[in-house]
Amino acid sequence: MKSIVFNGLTKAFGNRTVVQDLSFTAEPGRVTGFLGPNGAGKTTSLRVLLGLERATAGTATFGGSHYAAMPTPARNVGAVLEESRLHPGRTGRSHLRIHAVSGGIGRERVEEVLGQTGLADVAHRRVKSYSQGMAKRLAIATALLGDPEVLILDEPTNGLDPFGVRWLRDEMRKWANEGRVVLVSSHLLAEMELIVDDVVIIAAGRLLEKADVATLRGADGTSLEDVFIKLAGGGAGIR
Amino acid sequence: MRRQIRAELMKICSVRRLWVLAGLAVLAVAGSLAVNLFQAYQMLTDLEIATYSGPVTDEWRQILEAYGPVGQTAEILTSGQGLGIFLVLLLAILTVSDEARFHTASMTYLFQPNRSNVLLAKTAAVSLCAALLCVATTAVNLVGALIFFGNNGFGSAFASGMVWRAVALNLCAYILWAMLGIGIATVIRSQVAAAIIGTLVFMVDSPMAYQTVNSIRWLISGEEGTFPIMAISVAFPRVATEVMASTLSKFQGDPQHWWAGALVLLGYGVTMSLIGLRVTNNRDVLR
Repeated sequence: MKSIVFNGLTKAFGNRTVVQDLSFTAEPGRVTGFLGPNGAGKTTSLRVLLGLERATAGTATFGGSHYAAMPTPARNVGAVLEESRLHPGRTGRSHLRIHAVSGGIGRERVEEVLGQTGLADVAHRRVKSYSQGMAKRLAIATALLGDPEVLILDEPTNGLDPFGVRWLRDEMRKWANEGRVVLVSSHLLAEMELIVDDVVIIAAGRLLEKADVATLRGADGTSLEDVFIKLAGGGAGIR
Repeated sequence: MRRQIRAELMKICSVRRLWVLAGLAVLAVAGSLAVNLFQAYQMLTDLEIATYSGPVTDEWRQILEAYGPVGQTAEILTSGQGLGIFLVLLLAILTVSDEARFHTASMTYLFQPNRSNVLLAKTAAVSLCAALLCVATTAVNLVGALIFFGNNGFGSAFASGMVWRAVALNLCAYILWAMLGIGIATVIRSQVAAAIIGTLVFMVDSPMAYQTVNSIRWLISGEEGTFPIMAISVAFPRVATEVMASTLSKFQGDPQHWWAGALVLLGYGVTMSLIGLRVTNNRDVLR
């Protein structure tokens, strides 16, 4: 099982540095929370990891392998990106079938992930008729198509109702228990506190802290939110 | 690569737009075929051409070829070309620009990180659709031509190499316009802007190209001269298509060879594809 390894990653857009010298590892069998406020550089870091953007310096790999260099990456890594959307004119099932073909994944997986995400009954409907929560579930189903050993979820609870949030929380725990790497980014610290084993906190593109949740919260059980506010200096670096 | 082409074909077929474009293509072919059959009837019953028995000079040979059964058969078999290539151009532009418009590019590249492969697969898929459209319209036109020549007793020219060359070049035109559309949409990310520019490129036909080049000539020299208006006009893709795939001369008295049009279109298709590949590989994927 491959770990996710960020090693001195820096990403700049022109003169604006969005991520600076970011280093951490997400290990198999654990849910790693990648936390920070909006604009902290979480999505950019994940996009570089997934080969969608080029690193200015440093690397982001899966145990040393770059995403784009994998022969069938969707079989190894499943990702849900916050800004990644779905074509409204396609049905849920055709969306999954297209990506299954593209990723060299058997057609039977389409029905399996539809069942797994509770979308089997609405798979024939066009995506434009989906609620935000259903669209999010379809994006998660897409990530699961290749039965990957690494799952990357960017702000996955956005748009989900309380039932969906609970479902996703249980799924993430299940995936980690199966030995998969689960990296989940979010700015919802209270929510993440219920899910994650390890925490990586960034703000303004810089790493503030990386530790397991228990260590970070300490003996007095300080909330993750309080830890973050303290680390970020009461809002410094929040854009 | 094969699975990526299949995925791109599935993308095209999974939205209703394809069927709307196919419906428009049917209407375009039906209308164009009716007009061409009417014109063919007029040409083939033209007394001067039908009864000409004088010496066949080079000029007359060209006229007889263009306006006689050979030219008319070719025109009928390539009916609907104009709107057909426009629809192919639109399909190509929409196929690429949909990824930016609906923010699906990231997901596409997650499943196929090799961006060149994705673009080549899109080009292959749209080219295949273009070829199918061309074959289907030619089949409809062939039925129309068989009925027309069978009922009117005109000597048909189905055995003429010129006719089938026109049909083959018509197929090439469809595919090259598909490549052109892919290139336009790759370079111009906005779907609306790409569609408008594609439409403008398509709209500059022979008369407009002639006027444009003639105006430029007037601005440069201000007088009549030996300015090669016709040769320059072929640089416009639509004119190149007309020159390439039509047996009828668009500019009377000016030598224009089909291969010149073919080379111009091929040049545009290949150049735009190469630019598209370079741009796609070198920039970050749009969020």
